[in-house]
Amino acid sequence: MLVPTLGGMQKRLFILIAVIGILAAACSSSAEGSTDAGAPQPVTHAELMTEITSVGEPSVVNSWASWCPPCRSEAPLLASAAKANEDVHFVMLNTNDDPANATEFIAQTFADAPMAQYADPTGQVTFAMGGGRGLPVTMFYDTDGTLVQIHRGILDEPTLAFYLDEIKR
Amino acid sequence: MEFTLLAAAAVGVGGFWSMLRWEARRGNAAGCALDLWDVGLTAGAIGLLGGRLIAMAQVGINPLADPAQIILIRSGVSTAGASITALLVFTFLARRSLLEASDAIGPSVLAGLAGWHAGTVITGSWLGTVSSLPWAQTAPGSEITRHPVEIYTALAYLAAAIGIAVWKQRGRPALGVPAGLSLAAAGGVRLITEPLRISLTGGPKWLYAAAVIAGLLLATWRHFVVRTT
Repeated sequence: MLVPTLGGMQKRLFILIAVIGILAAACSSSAEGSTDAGAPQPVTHAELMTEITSVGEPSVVNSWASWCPPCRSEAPLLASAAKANEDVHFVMLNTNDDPANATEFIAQTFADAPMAQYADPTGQVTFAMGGGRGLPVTMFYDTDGTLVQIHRGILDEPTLAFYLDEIKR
Repeated sequence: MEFTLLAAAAVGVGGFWSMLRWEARRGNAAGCALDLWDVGLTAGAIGLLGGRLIAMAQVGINPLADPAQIILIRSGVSTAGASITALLVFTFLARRSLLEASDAIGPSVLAGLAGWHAGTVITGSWLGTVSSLPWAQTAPGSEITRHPVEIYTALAYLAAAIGIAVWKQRGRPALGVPAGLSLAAAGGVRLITEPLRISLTGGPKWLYAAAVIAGLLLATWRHFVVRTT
């Protein structure tokens, strides 16, 4: 039985086309993965403080990063708290993070939570607000924008509930 | 911050150990061959793990995909999941003499709960709703006075533990009655203090109510039905 076979030139051409196709697909998906569409936008300390003092309601600012396990662990608690407390302004400040990873985590965890999403690519905003080098850190402000409490480290449910009650009064 | 949680847990374990020792010197667990310290700690540790895994599942974190998060106890433990897991583990470990072991360990578990709630002073989450009573306390940096709800809870658990332990020795109750009363007290104290607590979820009141009903049913059945037959 005659079996059609590819000649040497045809084989090399086929391999070349396949390689180009794979590279094109890889570049295409790479470009899609690194897109910053929907990524949190950078904010300055002054801009953030203006927002907190003018929003007319108490605020919670959480500095986080997608590479930080305690931040990821407390994120669902913050998301559910934001949904349950629409009279509190929640600000998530993505700090020292890769924008693509941050965008993916935001889509997974905070998609339907009423939260403002900002980026602090160098960590300077978090530092200026009173946070240290470690993450996560959460700052609680009353309606006037006065800092009530800085909580360093992971938040538990009773602590978050307590400080939400404090800043609402 | 995790060290404060460990310290609070250590106070709880210390309360459990102290009551076990105190009762052991008065002939506790005479009909029970189990090492209650081992059984209690094993059930507690596995219960904690079960509660953490259930809490992770409830918020959509896959423990297999992100196993490091299992140890981040502070970010959430399901009270209902931990309690039910611990009870199941205890029931399995003490299956050969369940009522004897339950009677023997009941007051110690209440003392452990008293220690845990007292230990929340270390974690900083011991204040509840706003109060103007003379003993109301304020959080650091705050002027709002609040009920020290976890101290109320700790004192109520301690009173129940001592009361049941003393009555167990002097009153000679029917087998299973101290266990039933301990279970009812464990749920009842939380049910009564819950309105003074600040919570995002409201706490598993159904679990506390179920513990009260199950405990009272067990105690009533053992006291009025089994003893008289």
